[in-house]
Amino acid sequence: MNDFTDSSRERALAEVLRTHPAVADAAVIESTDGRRLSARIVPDPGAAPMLHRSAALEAAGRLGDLSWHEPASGVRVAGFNRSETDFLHREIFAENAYFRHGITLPPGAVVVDVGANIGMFTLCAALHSPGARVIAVEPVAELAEAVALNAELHGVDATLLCGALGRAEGETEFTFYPNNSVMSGRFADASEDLAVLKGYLLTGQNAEKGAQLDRLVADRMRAEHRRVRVTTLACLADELGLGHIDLLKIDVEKAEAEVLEGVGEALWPRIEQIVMEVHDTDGRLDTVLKELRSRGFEVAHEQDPRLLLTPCHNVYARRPEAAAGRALEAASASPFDGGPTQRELEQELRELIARSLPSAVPPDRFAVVADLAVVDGQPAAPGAVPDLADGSRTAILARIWAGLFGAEAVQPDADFFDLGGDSLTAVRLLAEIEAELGEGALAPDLIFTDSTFGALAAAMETDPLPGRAVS
Amino acid sequence: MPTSTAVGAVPDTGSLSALAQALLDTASLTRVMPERVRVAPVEPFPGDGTSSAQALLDRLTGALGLPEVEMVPEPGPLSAAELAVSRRLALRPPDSAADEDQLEDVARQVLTAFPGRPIVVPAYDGSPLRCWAAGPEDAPAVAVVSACGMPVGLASNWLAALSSSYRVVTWESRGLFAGDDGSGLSELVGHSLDVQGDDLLAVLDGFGIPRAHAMGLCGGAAIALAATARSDRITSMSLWHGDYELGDEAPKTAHQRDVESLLAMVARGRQQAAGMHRLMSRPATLEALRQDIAHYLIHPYATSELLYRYGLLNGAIMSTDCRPLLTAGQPTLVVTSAKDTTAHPAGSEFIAAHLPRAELRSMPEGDHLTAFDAGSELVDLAREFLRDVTTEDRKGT
Repeated sequence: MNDFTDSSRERALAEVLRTHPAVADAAVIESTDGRRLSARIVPDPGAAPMLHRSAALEAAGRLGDLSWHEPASGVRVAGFNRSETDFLHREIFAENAYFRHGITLPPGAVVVDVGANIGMFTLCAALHSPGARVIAVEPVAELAEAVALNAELHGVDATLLCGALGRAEGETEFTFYPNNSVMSGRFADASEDLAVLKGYLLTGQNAEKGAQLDRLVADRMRAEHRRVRVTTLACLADELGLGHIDLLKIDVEKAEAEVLEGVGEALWPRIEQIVMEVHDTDGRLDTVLKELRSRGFEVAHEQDPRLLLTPCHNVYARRPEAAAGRALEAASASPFDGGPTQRELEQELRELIARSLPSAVPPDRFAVVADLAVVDGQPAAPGAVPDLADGSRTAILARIWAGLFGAEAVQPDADFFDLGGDSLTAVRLLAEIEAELGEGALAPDLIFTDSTFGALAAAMETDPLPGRAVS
Repeated sequence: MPTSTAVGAVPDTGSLSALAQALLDTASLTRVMPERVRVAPVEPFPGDGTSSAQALLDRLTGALGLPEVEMVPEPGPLSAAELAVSRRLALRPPDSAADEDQLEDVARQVLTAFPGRPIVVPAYDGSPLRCWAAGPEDAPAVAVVSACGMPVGLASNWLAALSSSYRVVTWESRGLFAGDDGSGLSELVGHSLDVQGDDLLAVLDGFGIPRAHAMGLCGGAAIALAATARSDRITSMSLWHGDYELGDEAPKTAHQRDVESLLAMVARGRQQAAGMHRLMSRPATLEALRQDIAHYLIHPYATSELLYRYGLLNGAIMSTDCRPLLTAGQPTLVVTSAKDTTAHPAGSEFIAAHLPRAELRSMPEGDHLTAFDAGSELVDLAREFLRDVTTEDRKGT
């Protein structure tokens, strides 16, 4: 038996939630069938500034087709594909792939991030160099939106150019792989890129095999072709008045030599450090190394063991006379200081309820909102139940999953497609989830980007608005 | 809603004529996809075979007036629709240069081969309808009402089988097919079942046909039913493996329920359709389709815009209650099979039991898609029924 009547139960839970320092306001709402509770949390701007800002940005309609991803403790970013956000965070923050071989950042550094993707390196540079000015260059509009959103979320001084850098100004064809955005580029070549992706997926602890590999590759290599504006680094530096560049980072999927050709004689001496990914085809690595040495840089290069079957190498170049800045250590304390992530706050709130109201059933779901009176951008009627704020999503997914594939298939690593799921099975899964959680409760894309039960359940639990997730 | 898992043969003659036919047969896809369609060969070409094959494809598409396709060495990155085109083209190294000398002639022959180029007829609301006609103009008329969103190729077996004795006409669903002139999709003005039923009557008007037998296949059965209930110009009907919404009167298969869910989701808006389209573009989608006709079956799933419109059009067909239409007193043949796991045979049984003048034929064999194959047993059945119901027409001509 519950100690509370229905109405007082929700009030009491909300009162407990409000005692948490990271909670400015809270409400607990019962679903229409009376079976589930959901909590709506307004984050405190002082104790949970990152969550507070993200709720405000989302309320302003800025999230669009992006989703909030939380790849590590204290880290919340707007991303495009969850698996790519995890990859980028691991590479840039956890493994410190760029700040090696003497590459450092002075305070107030001027950094040009060419091929910014969702801005993970932009954040890394800015958060490690107080007062840094970052110029982020990203040709894919959707990804550029993420860069802008992430810079705003984390208070980074970033100037965004939505376009490409090359040897001359103009326009170019550009291939965008929506399910594999990190390989998008001007010189995308289906067979080459396929080989690189296969090489990556075949290497390492989590090597993919057989049909799973073929499916992953096919899904990830679906391409969209666009035209994008091109400028040169020299023009960009002139336009923005960059007297010098402390660090030029280039990750542009085979267009790296073109970016260097657009530096211009006047700018070369004003670049202190370069870190770049080089695709070593047709001797490009040697060419780039020679070019950098001839420009007065000390150079080093290495290849990630997971990329041994690919032509991808990282090149590190610094001028011998460059002042040593702050060296960054892999896996050092997180530079993010915006308070808890949603996942962390939810965990703390569950523990708080367990301590304060041990006999109460905690809410099934917690949503972070900017204003309790607004649901999904619309004013909420008093007592109205938000469409997407019902139920324990993992439990609902487990029940539906078992109905489709059998109870024994409810395993974290059980894969939707390996279990025999096809497009119409996916439709049935979506329809049944919608019947429980309302329209748009799950984006169809998630079924093939996060196709295991565990990943799908995690995505549904973590994402405040999973229906917005687009890959 | 035509879908199946049976596997058929892939043509691979390698001849120029076969390649030209295959390009024309997949034109509904290549005309409507926003990017140049990529195609992969059956096996990677040796040496510089890819570039010479690309040159041949460019010449052939040019001669046929079709959008160019882009040859890629491997099928890995292709979408389901692109794979469907690739499999239909079954590209192998060109036979010989001599063959290419005949290219213009081959293109002309293929373009004029049965069923020929479409004639565009305006619907009552002005929507352009791509129509085909075959058979003697003075013979009794049969209007083949194919499944929603299916290219004419899927109905061509019936056109061929009946056009020796009948004036056979058909058309492709409104708003789902691009014109031959590169103008893209026309606007989708209306999408209700009644509007689609009126399209049948507009097609008859376009060819100056006063009255006709309506032959409804799959979802086309509901359209034929709607037109027949509204107009006595439809003098008889045959309904083949029909898919009907009948409330609680008849069960539906899991496949029918899944497709209904899909159509309801994508019809909510273009954004929802785009999300579902990304899922349906997985190459694995193709494996659930009968291989020899997969390039037809996948058409309404080929782009997010098509999928959105398909949600509206086929959604209307699958969700409009057919019970009020069962007043039509025209003689009707209702054909189904207990082995149809796509459209539940109970729907056909209910229709046959409640139409005033209907005869039910439950075939011992036949999955859903066999209705489109126009095998000899079904053709004999159709001819027998048509002979009975069109005798008067022949006497009058």
